Amino acid sequence: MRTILLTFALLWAQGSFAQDPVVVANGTGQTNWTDGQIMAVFNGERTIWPSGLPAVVVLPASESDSFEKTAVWCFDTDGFEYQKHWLSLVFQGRTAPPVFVDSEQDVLEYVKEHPGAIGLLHVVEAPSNIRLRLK
Amino acid sequence: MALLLGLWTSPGVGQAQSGPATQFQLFGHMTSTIEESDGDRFSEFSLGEHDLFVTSQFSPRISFLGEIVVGPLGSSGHGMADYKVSIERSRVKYDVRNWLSVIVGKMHSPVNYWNDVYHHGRLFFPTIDRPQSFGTHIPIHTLGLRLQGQNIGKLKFGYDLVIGNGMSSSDVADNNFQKSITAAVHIKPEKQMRVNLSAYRDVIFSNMVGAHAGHSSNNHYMMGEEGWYPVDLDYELYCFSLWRKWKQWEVLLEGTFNRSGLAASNDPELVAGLPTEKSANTTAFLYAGHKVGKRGQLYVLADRCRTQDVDLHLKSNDQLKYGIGWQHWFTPFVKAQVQLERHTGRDGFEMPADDKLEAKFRIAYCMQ
Repeated sequence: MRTILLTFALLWAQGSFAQDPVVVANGTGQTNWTDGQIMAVFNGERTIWPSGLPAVVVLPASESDSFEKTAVWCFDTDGFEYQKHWLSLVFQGRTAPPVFVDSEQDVLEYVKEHPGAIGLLHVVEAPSNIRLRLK
Repeated sequence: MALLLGLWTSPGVGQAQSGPATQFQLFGHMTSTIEESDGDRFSEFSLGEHDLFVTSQFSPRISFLGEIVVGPLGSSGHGMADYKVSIERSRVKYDVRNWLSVIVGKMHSPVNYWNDVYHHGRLFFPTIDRPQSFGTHIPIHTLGLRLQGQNIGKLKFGYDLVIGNGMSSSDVADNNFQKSITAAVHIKPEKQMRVNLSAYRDVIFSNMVGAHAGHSSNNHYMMGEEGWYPVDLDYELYCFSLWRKWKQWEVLLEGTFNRSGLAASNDPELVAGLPTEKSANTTAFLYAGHKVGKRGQLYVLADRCRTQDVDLHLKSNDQLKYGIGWQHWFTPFVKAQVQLERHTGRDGFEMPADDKLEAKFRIAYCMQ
C-alpha cells in the first residue's frame, strides 16, 4: 500500500513541478503569443518583431543541458540537429546567426540589455516584465 | 574543440559593440577516389574547395554575406595542381519586413533547392557530388537585385524575384541591356518539407559560357570547338524541387526542363542552316536517405541528364549515374562520407556515354 501511495505521490509531483520553459524577450511590441509563433522565431523563420526590431535569438552554450531542452521544445529534436539546422540556415543567408552565451543566467542578462533579443529559460527565474505570455 | 562545439561567437553579456558584428567560418573538404573505366584503374587524393564564409551585421536590418572560394582549377584535369580564387557570393541584404528583403550583389540563383541551400557547403551535401545538371543547365550564380520573402502564412510561402547579369556575363561586366530574370516560389507545408518551383529566362550572347553558367563545363560548347556557333540564344529553364524529412527518412527530388534556341537578335544570314526549333532537355536527380543510429545515414541516389542534338549551347548527351552511400556526422561540424557510384548512359550523342565505376571517400568540415 505504501509503495502504491509513494508511486502516486511521485507521479503527482512530477506532473505538478514539470514546468514549461519561460520565454523572455525585450521590445517585441506584442504581449500575447502562441507557442507556434515563438517557435518560429527560435527556428529562424520569423526575423522581425511587430515593434519593427529585428529578432535576435539568444542561446546557451551548445554543450549545455539547457540548449538540449531548447532544441526539444522548439524544434522537436536534439541539440545536435538543432545546431545543424542553424548552421545551414545561416549558410543559406536566410537569417542572422543566433547569439551564443555561456549559461541561462547570461541569456537572461543579454535579453534584458538588448532590445529585440529573445531567450528560453528552463531553470533560471525571470522577472515578469520581460516574460512573454504564451496562449 | 570547444571552439568547434560553440557555434559562432559569444559576445559576452552587456559587451558594447563598436562596429559591425562580423563572423568567419571556413568550409572545406578532402576527397579520395578510386575509379575503373574501360579496364583502366585510377586513384587519387584530392584537396577540394575551401570556402571562407563571412557574415556581418552592419545595422539591425542591414547585413552582408560573402563567400570566397579557393578551389581546384579544372575539375577533370588530373595532372593539374593549380588553384583559383573566386568570389562566389557577395551580397548586402536589407530586411524591410518579415515578408520582404532586398538583396543586391552576387548570389546563388534560387532556381532549385540544392543551389539555394547547399551550393559550396560540402558539409551539407547529401551526396558527395552535386547533381549533374550543375555542370549543364543550372545558372548557378546571378549578380544583380533580388526581392525575397519567406515563411508567409500557414503554408510558409516564400518567393524570390531576381534580375541580374546573365549566363554569358562575367563578375565584372555584362555589356548589354538585357538581363536574366528568375522567379521562384516555395512552400513549407510541414516543418521539414519544402516544395520549390522556378522559372529562369535569359539570352546567352554569342553563345559564351560566362561566370554564372554551370560548374565544370565539359558539356558546354567552347569557343573554337567544333559545333560552337557565335549566335545569341534564348534560354529558358523550369525547375521543380521537393525536399522532405520525416521520421528516419530524407528525400530530395530535383527536376529541370530546359529549352534553348536561336534568339531574334541574330543576323538571319549568319544563322541560316542552323536548327530553328528549340531544344527540350531534361534532368532528374533523386536522393533518398535513411537515418541509422543517431549520427549515420544510408542513402541511394540516381541522376539522369538528357540534352537533345538540336541544342546549340550544350553538347547532346544521355547520361545516368546511380549509387549508394553512407555518411556519418562526428559533430555538427565534421562528417565523413563514402559513396559507390556507377556512371553509364546511351551512345550516339556528342558526349560519349560514361562507363565507369567510382568509389569516393570524403571528409567535409566547418571551422570557426
